[in-house]
Amino acid sequence: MGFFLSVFRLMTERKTLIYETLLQHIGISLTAVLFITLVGIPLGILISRHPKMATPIIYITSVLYTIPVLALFGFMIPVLGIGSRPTLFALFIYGLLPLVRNTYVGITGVDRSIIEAARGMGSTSRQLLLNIELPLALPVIIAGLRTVVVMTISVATIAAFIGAGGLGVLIFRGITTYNTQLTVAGSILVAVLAVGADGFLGIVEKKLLKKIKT
Amino acid sequence: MKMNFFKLIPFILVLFMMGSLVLNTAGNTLDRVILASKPFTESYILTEIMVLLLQHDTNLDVEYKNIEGGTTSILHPAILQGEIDIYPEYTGTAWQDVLKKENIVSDPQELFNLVQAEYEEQFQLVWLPTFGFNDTFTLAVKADLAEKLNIKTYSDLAKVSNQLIFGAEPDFFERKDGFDNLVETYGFNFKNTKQMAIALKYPAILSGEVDVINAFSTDGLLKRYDMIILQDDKNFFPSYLAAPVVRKSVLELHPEVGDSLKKLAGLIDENLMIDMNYQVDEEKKDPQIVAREFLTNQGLIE
Repeated sequence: MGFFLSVFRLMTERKTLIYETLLQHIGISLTAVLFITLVGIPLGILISRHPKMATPIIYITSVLYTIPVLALFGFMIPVLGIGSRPTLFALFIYGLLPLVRNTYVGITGVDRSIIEAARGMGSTSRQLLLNIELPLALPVIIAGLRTVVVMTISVATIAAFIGAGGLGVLIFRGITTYNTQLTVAGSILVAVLAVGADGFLGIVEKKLLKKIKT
Repeated sequence: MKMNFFKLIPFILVLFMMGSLVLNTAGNTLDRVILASKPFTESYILTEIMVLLLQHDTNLDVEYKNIEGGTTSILHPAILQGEIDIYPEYTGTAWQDVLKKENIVSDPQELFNLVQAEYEEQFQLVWLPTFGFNDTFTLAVKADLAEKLNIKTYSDLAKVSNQLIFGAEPDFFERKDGFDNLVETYGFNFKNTKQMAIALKYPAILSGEVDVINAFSTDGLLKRYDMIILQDDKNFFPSYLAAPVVRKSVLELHPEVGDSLKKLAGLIDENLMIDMNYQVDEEKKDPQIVAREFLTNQGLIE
């Protein structure tokens, strides 16, 4: 218990640093998730429409997913420099796979008979997508998004590595200056942020699904 | 035809992203200097000292960029790119890791002069005068063990090395002035070797998992764990004088930066550096506070 008290004391002592890194962390994660969503969902829809493209695109995103972040930072400095650019790039290529794949699986997994029925009633391809496929695929897409959000928030600790700040600063600083409390403080905040964001999306998901059903 | 819209979205967005990335590059304004540190206590303190002094002495916008992965392999390309303007570097590191020199120069001042000349010619980077201390590698053992086995020098250690376990960070096993050549020079024959992160070496020696570690000669924790530094009686390790490395164009544009940082020349000796490191690592002081106290004591800031 005494240890957690000392962590709490440290958090109040260094509150400007903690506040600053917390905001940076939220900023980086939000921006990354935004990019991932704006690219990932349309890309998932696109490959569900063109099954020939599906395998290569999912394959490419899987390969990107396996590149170690640190290696990426090392060889991207001449191109992307340091700071938020390489960080966003790294988070982007990591987050793409879960969302693209879930969107694709969600849409292609919609019961064929429903689609045939809608077609039979004269739905255009666009109506089909917006009124039938997307709403029915939504739970799977949102599940993908939640994975992306939690993963992005925790992976965003590596932002500190390359000069983009964030809660990783507390974690790395704690390790390099033998200050365990600082490391624990950073880790707790990352965990709280990730769990909080996931919970929030859970609520959004429930509301959305209710809306669609009615 | 309707699908074209959806097809285009990802491509438009990727273009948009790339565009914003390119635009970001123009972010470094003329009246700003950006400093960075290597990821360990001593470097944090040195950088905080430079930041505070520059804020005090100049009208520039002084920024300290936290790059926790900021080893030389990250910071050197970054300073070449102009992403950062100033960081503290060590002569030995520059000589071997950046300039890729094979030969070992044993005179510290000569090494500094060589590095300074090469940096200016090759990279347009300037080495300002050194802070004053030499943070070289050394070998350390617990004081009681040293006494029991009667070890004072590396050569003494070689005689009993077959009873001892050696621990160091993975880098040390890769370096030219690292494990392999060290073993060859002194004829060490350790019972076992263990690789661990820098921050874990002291806990490991405390718990008895290792007996001998490589250490930095200015490490504050040597003081805490009651360890002694052995004497490098064959002068194996090169010198690592620390000094600010600054982009030449910054010094030309803002001569006051050089004037300000030169005030730090020779002010910090090994004992003072050990003491400041100790305050951060052991007394858990914020490096910025330690830096501020140093500058106030020296009368460089109010």
